[in-house]
Amino acid sequence: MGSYKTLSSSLNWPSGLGDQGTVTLVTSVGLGANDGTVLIPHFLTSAHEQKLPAILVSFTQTYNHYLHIMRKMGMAKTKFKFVNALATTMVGQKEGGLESLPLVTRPDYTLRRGEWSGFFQWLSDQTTIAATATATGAAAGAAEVEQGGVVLVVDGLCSLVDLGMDISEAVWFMDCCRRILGSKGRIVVGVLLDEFTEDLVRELVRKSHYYFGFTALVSGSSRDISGQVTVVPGQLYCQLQNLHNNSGGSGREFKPLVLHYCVSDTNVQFFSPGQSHIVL
Amino acid sequence: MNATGLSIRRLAAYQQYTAPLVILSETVRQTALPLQEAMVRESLARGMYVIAVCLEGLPSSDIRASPLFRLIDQRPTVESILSVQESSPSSSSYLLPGLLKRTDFARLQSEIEDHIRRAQEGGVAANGGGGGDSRTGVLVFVDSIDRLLRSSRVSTLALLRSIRGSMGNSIKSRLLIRFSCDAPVRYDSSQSKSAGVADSLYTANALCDLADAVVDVHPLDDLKTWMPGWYSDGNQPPFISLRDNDPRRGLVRLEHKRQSGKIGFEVATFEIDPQTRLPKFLAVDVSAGSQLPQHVVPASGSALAPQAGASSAPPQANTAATAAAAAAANTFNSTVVSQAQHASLQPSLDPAANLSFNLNLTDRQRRDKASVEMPYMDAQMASASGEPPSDSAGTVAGDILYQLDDEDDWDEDDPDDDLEI
Repeated sequence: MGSYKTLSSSLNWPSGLGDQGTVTLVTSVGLGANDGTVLIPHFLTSAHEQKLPAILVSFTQTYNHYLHIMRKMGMAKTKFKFVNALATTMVGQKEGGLESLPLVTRPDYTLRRGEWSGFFQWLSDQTTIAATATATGAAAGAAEVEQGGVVLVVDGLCSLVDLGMDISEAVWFMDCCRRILGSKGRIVVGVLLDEFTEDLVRELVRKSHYYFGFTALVSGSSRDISGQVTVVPGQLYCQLQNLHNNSGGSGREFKPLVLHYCVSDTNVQFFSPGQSHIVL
Repeated sequence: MNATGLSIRRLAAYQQYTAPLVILSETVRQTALPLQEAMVRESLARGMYVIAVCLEGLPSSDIRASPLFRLIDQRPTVESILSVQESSPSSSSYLLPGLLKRTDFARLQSEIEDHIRRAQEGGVAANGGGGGDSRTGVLVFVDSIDRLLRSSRVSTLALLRSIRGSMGNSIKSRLLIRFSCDAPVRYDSSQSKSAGVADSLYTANALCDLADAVVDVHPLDDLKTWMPGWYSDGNQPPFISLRDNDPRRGLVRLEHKRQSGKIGFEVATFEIDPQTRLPKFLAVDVSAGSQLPQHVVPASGSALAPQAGASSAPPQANTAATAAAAAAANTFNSTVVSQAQHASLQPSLDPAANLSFNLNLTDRQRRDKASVEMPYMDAQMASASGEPPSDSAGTVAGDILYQLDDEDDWDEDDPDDDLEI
């Protein structure tokens, strides 16, 4: 189970991840505690626990930012590849500028403006490596290896819209990633939801299987509760449901729900509304 | 309400109505994909050929496994993604022209019409080439036309018009389109980005004008907002709420243009049967004076049909014609369900229904609450009746007793005396 056990059990996700071939959309309203990026360590750690290759593509932060958070939460051993997409915001960046960084913080790939084909090729290579590793593991009789698949986490896709990119292009980026990852991969996309990105979020909801909406409490601010998250099916979930029915029913049905959460310095707790430790 | 049955039920069952072009209009809060796939399954169950034009994703595996299914795959391949040409780093557009290349509409139209012709010829051969309309029905469905509209709106409308013409007026031929009516993206990338009426509104109007039937899909929670007497509380609704995008049920509003020129409107709820995965439709009465959704009375005028499998005797009002009509309706598996089942489809009106803690009162708590005497109720009741309260000391109930301070200067004059009214 992933780092947030309550969340995983509430969602009926034993592995802490959605099904293979799915897209999970995480939206955040406002800044600060209403930030859906609290789920990024969960997905990366869950992938690591399931021995699945994880890739984090960030359009908003550097690698050190996530490394620092993971260390504070005790997830420093989680291994994942980092793609520095923050470089897309830079124009005229000198080649090799990142070589001065220490190896431990150097990104595995740098996504620059106008070089998406190179990224897609790199992503395709990672998918091939993961598939090969799965085949090797299956041949060796390793039972604990899940059936392959790369977990791709994209943070801040809405930044492309802020940079003037058309919504259809940003959606195409996700479509291409999904096509490359294939039916085994999983994609998690994190965006900010406001009046400028609402159109992008609408398009992404149509292409997602799960939707996590992080918002502030309706009743107002609270010291002990950072916000609430609404989890509902995305528009493609019905096809997933049909797949479960066709396969005889795996017994794991996704349940829409509303949870409250509290962000502390080293942990994030999820609980049902009215079940915080203050109430109890 | 249509006393002879729901129009959308007949439409989905290919009964009575000819509708060569049907558009399923969806929003971000409720997708039409489950209903579209259920209608596709209904077509397959009736022996019709189904041609899928897939631009974004494939249909469910059970649909693809059918021998009557034909696929026109227009999705981008991994090879095409990896082989795209790079643009200049200083280009304002990240996106590489190859990914947004215009769709070859002529080729797509030719391919669709070729599939239609082969399907119809195959149906004639299967039926022995007999006289009359022995052609097998054909359903062409497009998973989402947004990508076509982005490429060229004019060409997309022309494509739909020509495919609709190829369908003819056969009751068993149909073009089924899913359209996102709240997608505000700019259609037809060749146009400049100018302010004004949103492109999606213009496109929605154009599609509605072209279509023979438009089915708007909404979440069930929207039903209460259509009821007379509902008012918003002024709070902004959430972007997506807990009951949105329920893949099993929803609310539909049908606008059907019949060949006679009449336009019919209908509101109904639908539920996807988990076993058969076919749609069931239930009527909804949103007319003035109705408080809650009601059942439609079947054509026989008898009581609601019992639940399938129940060992109850049929109503005495049943006639042979009614039984035949009921049997015909049952072939579509859209029976009128019992009120208990219908109630289960309605959103719960009890706000304390889905909480993790108990807010309900026990009988003793209700009695204690009812027996609590409000402290000033006695005085208020006495004020209303004009009688002094039982514990008063000669004062009139409801009076405000105020002791003037030394600094107070009580003026008995009317402050409005100087007004010349």
